[in-house]
This record gives sequence, C-alpha cells and structure tokens, in this order.
Amino acid sequence: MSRLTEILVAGLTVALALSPVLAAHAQQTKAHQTKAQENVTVTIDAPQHTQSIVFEGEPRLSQLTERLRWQDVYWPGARLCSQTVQNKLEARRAAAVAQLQLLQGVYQQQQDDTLSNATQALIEQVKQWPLLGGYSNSTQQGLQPALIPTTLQRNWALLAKHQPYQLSVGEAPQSVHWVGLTQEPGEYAYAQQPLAKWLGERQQAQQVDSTDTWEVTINGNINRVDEYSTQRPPLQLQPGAILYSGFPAAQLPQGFADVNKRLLELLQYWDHNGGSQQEGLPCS
Amino acid sequence: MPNNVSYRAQRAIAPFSLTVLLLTLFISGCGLAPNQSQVDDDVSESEGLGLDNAIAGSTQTAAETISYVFAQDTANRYSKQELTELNSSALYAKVGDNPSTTLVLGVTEQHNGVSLQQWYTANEALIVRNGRLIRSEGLPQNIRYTANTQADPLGCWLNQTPSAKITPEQRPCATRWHSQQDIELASGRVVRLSTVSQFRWGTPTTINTPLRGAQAVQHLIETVTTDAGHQWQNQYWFQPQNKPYGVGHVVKTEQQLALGHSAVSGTLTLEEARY
Repeated sequence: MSRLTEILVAGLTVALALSPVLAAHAQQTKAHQTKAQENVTVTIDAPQHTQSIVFEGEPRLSQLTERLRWQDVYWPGARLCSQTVQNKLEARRAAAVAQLQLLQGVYQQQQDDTLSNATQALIEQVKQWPLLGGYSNSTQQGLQPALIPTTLQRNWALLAKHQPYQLSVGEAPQSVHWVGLTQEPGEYAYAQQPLAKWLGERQQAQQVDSTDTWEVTINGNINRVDEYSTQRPPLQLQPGAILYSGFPAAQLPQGFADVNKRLLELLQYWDHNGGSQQEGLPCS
Repeated sequence: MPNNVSYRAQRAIAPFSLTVLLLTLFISGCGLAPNQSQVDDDVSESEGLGLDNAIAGSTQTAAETISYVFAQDTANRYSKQELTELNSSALYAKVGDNPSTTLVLGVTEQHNGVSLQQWYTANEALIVRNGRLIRSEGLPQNIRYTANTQADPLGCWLNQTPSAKITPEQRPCATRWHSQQDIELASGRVVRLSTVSQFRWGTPTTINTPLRGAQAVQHLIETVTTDAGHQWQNQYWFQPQNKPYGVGHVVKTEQQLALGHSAVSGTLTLEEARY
C-alpha cells in the first residue's frame, strides 16, 4: 500500500468514526434553529377588541405592550397568562377546594351547622372565582410598559413551550369585590372611604359579627383589615380590591391553619379584566 | 437621601447609563437578545405564580430609585456641551425645590394630532401625552393611570394662539375637562383623585433654552379642582405648530404630581434641554 493510500484510508476511517458525532451536531443545530423559529401565539384581550397574533420566534414582552401604546389601558390590572401557568393555578384551586371539603367534614362531625354551611357556600364561591394565572414581575402584579424594554430581565421572552399566551388588559376598576364568609358575596361600587368603616357598615347590615378580613389589592399586595387600628390616616378602600372575610384562627381545627392563606394566594390572581370568562381564550 | 459617595458614583456613570439604556432599548426593541432563552426560562419558571414575590410589594423598587431623579441632593443637569453630544432629545426635570436632572427621550410618536413621548433616566420613565404627564414608572410614587385622555383638550390648546377677535363661545377647544388619576404612593396604596380642569390663557413671554436660546412662547394655565375641593394650577409654555394634526411644542411646564401624600409630592417642572 502506498503512502498516499494509507493516508486516504486513515482519513476515511476518522471521517466514518466522527460521522455520528457530526450528524448529531447537525441535528442539534437544526433543532436549535427550528426552536428559534418556532411561532408563538399570543391573544391580546383588550376592551373593544380581542386580537390573536402569531410571532415568528419567541417575542419579548415589549412587543406585546407596544401594540397597546395608544389604548386607554389600566396597567396595574394587566395580566400576562399562559396555558401552563393557568393549569398550575387550577391545580392550586382544586387543592384549596379539597381542603375546604375536608374542613367542612370536620365541622359536620362537630355538628356545627353554621360553620359547615358557611364552608359549603365558600366552596361554591371558590369554584366560581374568576382567576387568571398571570406571571408576576418579581415584585408585583400588573405591568409597567415603559420600563419593560429598559432591561432584559423585565423584558421576558415568551417561551414557545408555554404557549399559547394571553395578555389581558382592561379599564380602571370602579368596584371592589367582597368574598369569603359573607352572606352577600359579590361586586360593590368603589367609594373613597376608610376600609374598616366600609366593611363595618356592611357587616352590621348583615347582622354578623366582625370576622377576620384581608384585602388583596389590584397589584397583589395582601393586607389585614384591622377595624380597631389606630393608624392615621386610616387605610382607604382601594379601587379594584378583593376583600376576603375568612375563618377566625380560633375556629380552625388543627391541621387547617393555612386555609385563609391558601385562599388569599388564589385571590392574588383575580381576573380584573374578564379574560378568564371568555370562551376560546388560552386561559379561559 | 443618598450619601455623597453614591451620588458621585451615580454622576460618574450617568452618561454611561444613558448609553446603555439607549442601547438596551434598541436591542430589546429589535428582539435581538442572544442566549437569553435559558435565563428567561428560569425567570418564567420561578416567577410564574411567584407568590412570595408578589406579596413583597413595591417598597424595594422605590428605594432603589431614590438616587436617580426625584429625591437626589445635587443637580445632575447636563451641560450645553453634553447636550450637544447627546444623540437624543432631552428634558430637565425637577420636583419642588429639589435639584434638577436630565431625562432623555426614549419613544416619541404622533398620531392624529396626539403626541406621545416616553422620557427616561436609567431606571425611571415619564409618559407624556400632548405635554401632560399621564403616567410614571419607577419613581417613589407614581401616576399609574390618567382617565379620559382621549377627551383631553390640552392638545387642541397647544395649537392655538390667543386672539382678541375670538369670543369665548368661538373658541375651538373645550375649556373644561373631567378626569381621574390613580396615584400609587411609596407604601403601595393608591389614591384616586377625581378632577375637573379649566383652561385659560396666560401672558405670552420668552423662555431661555440651553441650545436654542430665547424662545417666544404662549402661556396656558390649567386650574385643576378635585372632588375633595383641593385646587392647583398646571402651567404650559409652548410654541404652537399651526399645522393640521400638528402638536404644539411644550418648552416648559409645571404640573402638580400629587397632593401632599409624600415627601416627593409637589410641582414637577419639565423644561426643554435639547429640542
């Protein structure tokens, strides 16, 4: 065998040996390119128009918010949801309902009809709460669209694997919601007045003793309402707030101490824009 | 208040920060963000339903911004030379008697006679519609929402010139405007103000600008009354554009940020630095 033949054979051997590696590399490159070019579908649910957009590749959050620059949007109430997050939220809701059912069983065993019935009513409420599984921006709910493009951390990429996405925006809230252990859960007109006073008047009208109540503000903050607070100026009712009257700690059996906390965590995801109730949207 | 060391550091990095900001705006606006997928994957995974984060509130953000514009103890006002070298329009901004600072224009758009501008420091943004501050982000307290902007007659007024020949009935612009502002305080609590504005002409005057020199301007006074009976005046010194669908250029404006709800409430003054 000549020297040239030896070199050719050696080269061929090396090429054959490396071919699986090269093929795998080529496949990975192709897969990466395919992933980078994967389309992402986002539905923008805004007052007066719902629009579905297909982006080539994974868009940044600013690419959504810029489309709403001329809209009259209440950004503290804006929520970005994906089907993945909504599924996680629904699992949490199911777990909370299961815990309430156990709690109701305990009250039944204790023959406490009042608390048993109240818990049953609460279970039905929780099942109906309009919740939207939004991403939070590390400090609070809602979006700050002008600051989003200033850093990559604020300007998330909307990953293809979590799609479809839904950006829900709405108008300024003119109401508050009162939920939990109240005889008249529902929506009430917002009024500028101290929170404890607002609550006290309605509890008096229902002829119920004051309960432990918390507010969940539209930006996701949770505060306990203390009607005996001497804080000056007193906490004012917040537009869009969710007021939750919960179980007094003394009435919770052992093992159920976190019931109120679990429900409050769900209420941070209250849908302020109605996007969870429209059929056909990713997070409905 | 920031100490001197942190202020000096801030001043030293300010031009760099602005460059980085503009670069970041460009990059993220173009969607060119290589190698971010994994980072964002982690962010998305950890912050989806990030309850602890959501509970934390906005206090930390407010603390971080104090050394930027609205509570600084020394002026950060770009010189004429720095303004000339700047590749953007710029404003001087100050609150009350605090020292002023420089903001750069990040976004500007005009649409059907409405001008929308977003002005930036490294970590704060002011959103200005036809010369009115309608939203702010990243300040210790922020205007989160201004209602009824579509009916705001300010843009109409900014294209007019007072004329003795026109009776009040013949004025082409509305003289009253109803609105509502949601102001988020540093505590995270929101104060809602329902307001009525009334507009009238002031006296034309001349204002000195850093790069364009003395400019003749019209003067518009907006008296704002809240439903609680508080009252203040916003003022606009401007040059009408006198073109169909044009928007007058505000050379200087003084606007009330909020009513005594925190140390940074007071009059916000915005002045042309680089046109």
